[in-house]
Amino acid sequence: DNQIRFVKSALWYHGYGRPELYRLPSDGSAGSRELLLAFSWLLHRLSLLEQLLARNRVKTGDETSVCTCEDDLPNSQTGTTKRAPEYGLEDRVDVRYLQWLNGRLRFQWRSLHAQHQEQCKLLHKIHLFTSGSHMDQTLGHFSVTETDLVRQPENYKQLLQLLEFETMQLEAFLEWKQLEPVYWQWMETVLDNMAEEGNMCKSQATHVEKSGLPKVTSCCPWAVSLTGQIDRLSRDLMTLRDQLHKLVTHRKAAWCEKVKTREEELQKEGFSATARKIEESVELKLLNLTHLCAPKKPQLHGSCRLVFRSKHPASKMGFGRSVSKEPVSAVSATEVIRELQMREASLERELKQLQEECRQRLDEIAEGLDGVICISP
Amino acid sequence: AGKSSSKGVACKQGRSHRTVICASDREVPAPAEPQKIPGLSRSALNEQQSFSVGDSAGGKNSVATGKRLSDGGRKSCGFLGESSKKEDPTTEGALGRSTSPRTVTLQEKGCQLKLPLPYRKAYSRNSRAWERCRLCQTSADAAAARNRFIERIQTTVSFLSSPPPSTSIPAEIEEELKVLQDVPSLLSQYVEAEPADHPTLEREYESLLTLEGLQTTVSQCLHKLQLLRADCAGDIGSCSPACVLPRGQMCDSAGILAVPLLCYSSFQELRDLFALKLQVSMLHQEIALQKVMMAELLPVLESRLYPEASAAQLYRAIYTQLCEGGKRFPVLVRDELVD
Repeated sequence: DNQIRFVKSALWYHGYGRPELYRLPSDGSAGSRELLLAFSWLLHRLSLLEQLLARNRVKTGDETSVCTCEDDLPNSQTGTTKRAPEYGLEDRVDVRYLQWLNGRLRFQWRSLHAQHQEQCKLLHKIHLFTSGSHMDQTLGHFSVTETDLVRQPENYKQLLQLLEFETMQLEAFLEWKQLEPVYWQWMETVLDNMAEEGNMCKSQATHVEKSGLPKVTSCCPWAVSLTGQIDRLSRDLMTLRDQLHKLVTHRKAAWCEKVKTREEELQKEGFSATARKIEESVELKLLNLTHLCAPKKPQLHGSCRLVFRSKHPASKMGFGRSVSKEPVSAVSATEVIRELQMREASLERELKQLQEECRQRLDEIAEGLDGVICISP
Repeated sequence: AGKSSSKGVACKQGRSHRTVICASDREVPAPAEPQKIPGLSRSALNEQQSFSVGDSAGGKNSVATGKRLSDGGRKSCGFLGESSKKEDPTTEGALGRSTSPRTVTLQEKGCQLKLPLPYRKAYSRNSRAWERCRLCQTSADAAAARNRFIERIQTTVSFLSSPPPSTSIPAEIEEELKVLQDVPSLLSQYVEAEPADHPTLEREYESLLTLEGLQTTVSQCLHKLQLLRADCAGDIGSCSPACVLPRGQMCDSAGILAVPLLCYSSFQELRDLFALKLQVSMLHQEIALQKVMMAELLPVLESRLYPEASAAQLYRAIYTQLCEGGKRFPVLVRDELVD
């Protein structure tokens, strides 16, 4: 039952429109043809095969993920059902326990950071020292796994098997591509059959609901969370807009003042020509900004192999040669870093806003506390 | 003497190599990254294999040291520690540290290493297959048949009461929203970058124009958000009540079969990359924690369910936690008037 609901919501999420699917009973007793149609639709819409191949790629390199999207921590969606200690009148949690946990968490983060940095150092060493050894020019150096492979090849039989297996899968994929026309033609016949049958029992479906399920007003968790995000962003932007409005009016007034008094003088200097140049450069600057705001080129979700490519053309890594064979999807760390910095800035902003909200609420509470004044740090 | 010195070396390595491990199976840990797991189990198997080989190999005089290193569950570190005793001249030993006369450092020999033949064969077959798949195009027949099919599926939808608006697909709404997420912070950075005073008239004009441009961008984004919100509301009607939300990560299918490479150009870049990833991940967690704590702790204070005596301390602790990230403390002063 859960599976069926999951499938339906996944299909809805990606915009599958056939109502017959959503009307299928939840026990899975009927509708194999509808499922087949939905599957084929997904096959195309999600590039399902390609995605599966890409996600399950055998990893021979030092992998790290690139995408910045992260799910909300799962518990936040299930509500506050799992609250470890209840704060009834009996068993309390000492807030100091909370503080202690928090301290521990921070400590773990710091040590994780230290370990990462150590890992980077060693990774880089291996990449540097093995440069020039890899037969794949685009890579140029070994990964940790490959370095170990050199020393203890007998340990990696399984890796080899996985590689071979994957090669077979890829070849199967190529065969599928050859046979594809047959598949889609077949799917069309399935649709034909269903249309025929549908015509025969047309008497049933008089009124058509968008979904066979009872209409939901506002308890769709997805919509709730999304509208929440949208509202937060809108609030942010609206404050920014007001701030900008004030700033611009102020500046404009000052500007007009200045220009008025010097009008003839500016005319003589040919200010309008300079003005036009300035306008162009500002446009360029803002174009760059809108480019950053617009949907980026296809993001790579999932892991990438870390490759060291020094910028020195004189290095003996065959870098010059590898440029010609450079795969389209090589992402540069510089870009990723830039995006991460943007993400970091946004998140810090969000955190500060939450903290500010807390501060206000706590100030209100402080009014209610007798005999105590709170001085914030 | 040889043994003890190499032991010392090995132990030192053991500590510093704790993290070297198969970077292939341990990425920056984020709370929920399911794609890591297959890799983890595979290389965990490798780790175990290398561990057991080290153990069972009788002739190696490094076994004892290897065992000691592998205490505390640092399984795969053993191999690097053991390496300093390996007599195989073609393999490397301590990274840059060779107290034993027989070892050869990776630094010296690294660029001459060769991967074993079976691996090389498997690897090149594999990468050729990937390349063929990447270049493989959908045949014209297939594309035509497929498009016909997809169109027909869409048309069976259109007998619904109202044709769905263009962006009412949940996955796409989320994608658009994701794009807009960093915009406010980015724009405000630009705004703050504009100085208050300008030396010349030109600079002032430029600044003014920039600010006006930013204004337009802000209103455009706001407008877009409104549209998205409307689309979102439109979707509620067709949503199923028990939305178990799948996280749709839609990638463009164009480059998906290409080899995913992340190229860094310097050691510093690598470090920055890791540091930033961790920072972003931490911030996500902090925000989630903040929300939960707000929901749990503020009601406690507001409802006055606590013993009066500890009110002040409780307030102080909660204030620190919620407003200062647990780092700084407010000062509470008794408000007592002495008559």
